[in-house]
Amino acid sequence: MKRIFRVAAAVTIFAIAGSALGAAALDQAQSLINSGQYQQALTVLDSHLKQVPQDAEARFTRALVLVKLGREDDALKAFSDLTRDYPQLPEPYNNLAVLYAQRGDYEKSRDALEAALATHPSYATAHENLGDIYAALASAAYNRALMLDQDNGVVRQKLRLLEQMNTLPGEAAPAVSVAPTAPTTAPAPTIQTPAATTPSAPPASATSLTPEIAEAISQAIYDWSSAWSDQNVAAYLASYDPGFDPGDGQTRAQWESQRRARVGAPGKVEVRVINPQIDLLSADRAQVRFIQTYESDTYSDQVTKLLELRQSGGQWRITREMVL
Amino acid sequence: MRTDKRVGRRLIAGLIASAICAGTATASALLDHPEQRLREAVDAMHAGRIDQALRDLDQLVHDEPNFRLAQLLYSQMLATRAGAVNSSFSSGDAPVDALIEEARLRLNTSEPPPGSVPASILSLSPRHQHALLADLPRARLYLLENRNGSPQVLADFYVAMGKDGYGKQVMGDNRTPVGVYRIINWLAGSGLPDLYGAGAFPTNYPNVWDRSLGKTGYGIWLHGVPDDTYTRAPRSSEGCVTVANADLLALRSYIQPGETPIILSDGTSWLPAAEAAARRATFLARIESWRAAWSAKDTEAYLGFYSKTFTVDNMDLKAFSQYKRRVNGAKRYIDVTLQNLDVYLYPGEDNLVLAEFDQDYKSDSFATESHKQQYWRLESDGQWRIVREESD
Repeated sequence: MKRIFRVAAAVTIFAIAGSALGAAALDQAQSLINSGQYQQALTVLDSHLKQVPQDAEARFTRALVLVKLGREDDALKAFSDLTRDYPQLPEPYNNLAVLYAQRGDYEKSRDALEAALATHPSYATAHENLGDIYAALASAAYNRALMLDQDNGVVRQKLRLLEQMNTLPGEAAPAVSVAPTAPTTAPAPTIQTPAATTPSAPPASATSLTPEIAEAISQAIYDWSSAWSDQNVAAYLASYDPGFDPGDGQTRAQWESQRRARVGAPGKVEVRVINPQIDLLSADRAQVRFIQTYESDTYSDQVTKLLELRQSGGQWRITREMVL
Repeated sequence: MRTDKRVGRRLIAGLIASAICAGTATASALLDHPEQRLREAVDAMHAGRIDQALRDLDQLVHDEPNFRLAQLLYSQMLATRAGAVNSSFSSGDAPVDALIEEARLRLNTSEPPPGSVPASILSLSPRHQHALLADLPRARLYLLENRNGSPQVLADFYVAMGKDGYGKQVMGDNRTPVGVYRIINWLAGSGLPDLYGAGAFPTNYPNVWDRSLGKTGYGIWLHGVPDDTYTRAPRSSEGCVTVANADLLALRSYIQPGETPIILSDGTSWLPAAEAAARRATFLARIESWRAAWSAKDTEAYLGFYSKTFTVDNMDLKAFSQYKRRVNGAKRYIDVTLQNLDVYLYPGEDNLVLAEFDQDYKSDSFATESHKQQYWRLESDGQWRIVREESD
């Protein structure tokens, strides 16, 4: 949810209520959020909003907490209300779009992002998300064109979008969305509140991608693609973590038997990994994005692939595999 | 295979480009027709109005989610918009290729020149208000309206044919027949399997000519498509002609089961109305000469209209001539009148004409009314002669 929190920082600046009381309540809510006490954070925000119902920042934070609590419908309504009450703010539109995308409703997601861009044409986050939505819509349309299993496509796209939410490079992004719309407001409050809005920092700063880790991850990817090319099914399957989620509602056993057939069947297979880019999510979790070319005696294609890996016992193994 | 992929993508771009030339020239009678909307979106795209094209396609796939070609084009435009240089468009895949072929057929279609008439219909009797003409290689079905014997295009539709194309010979060859047929029935979709969609118009394949050539098979219908698709791939049936359900239902009010002709052609050419009228006059005169010779009891002149290869009811020309000389000679008078004359230049054949009419025969000793199908062939001496005749 890194991106969502980043967005929260932006709204903070807009919605300066100038209320020390509000700032205190928000601080309190934010530290509860940081320690994972979402229900308590919600209680604090609800009681604050009873007194200051139009505190946009508190409403925004509350909507984020609802996401954390899995109350998607409520979160959707909360962001939706914010877009109605503050149509000039792009962030609620953006997050509304994310929630729609998670439901697979890419049309509404697109509309929300376009609304965000209508007021803030240079809003980079919305542009980025819109690109993803176009890709998801493209993929869904492609599946419909070929009458492929649509549900699978939708689920995969959904996951992918969530993934994208999580894997943004952790730079000081708020600047991007703040810059066009937040002139130099009172500097003092911005110092107060942003402090509460940097929860994205801990996971990102916990680890850094050292050459050793990059090497270990690269080796894992290389071993995986080599095993596939060699049609060494055992080694190929060993590249996957025991907790690997095949997606599409398949069980591990179903997936394995399908992969055994597909990896082993062709006369020859050649898989290449081009331009891998590694994002370290934490000390033991990483994502690698690359172009994969596949060529067999009967079929070839080229896709952009995202692998999620987990490290245990010094060995990186695949926990999730997605075609972008 | 990797090159296939590139070719596939280039093909889409190429055929979209070629559609520009033809696209705007086409004006469907049904303005909001999904195919017309597809063309407009492609035109907009090519004019650089990408946002417009995307909006058009977005609305189109919303209204017709099973229009797979529209989904494919939409998908490609979105992928481009998303900046996916290497979109995961797979390639060389049969279904993708079929959609590319469908795009080529749909977008390259060009309306017949204004005022032109199909060469395959020489004359249409007033009994038929409408006729259907399928140009199978171009995947088009024309709805024609009879204006004083001259067929004019009212609307045209994308149609799909047999997996192995056209020119049916035998049962199970997955080909669509080429010939002149009649719609004999209407079967509502509610009483049929989902495969037939909104319903079906069975035809009378195999007809007299097919049977004389020993062609086999049956159940050649014009029918709709299953729920899960807007139309079928260009070559997809076992020999039937399939059309979008909405189009089939739109056609329904123009079709009279038992009457309406459907011409399945291996390629339709269009003639200026004046040229078609001249051809019609020439041929009608030839048929009139045959009728007049018969009515005048000029048996030798009458027999001169029959080819040496003529056969009817197990009689060759010699037997037929003896029979006619005997019968005609015994009459004091013969009076033959023809009504409801339809004349077709038979598709898939060189210089073969089918004349179909109601014949009223009266003589001093006998009178009968019949429906006759007469096949005329242009012979090496430049004369049209009858090669086959059948009455029912």
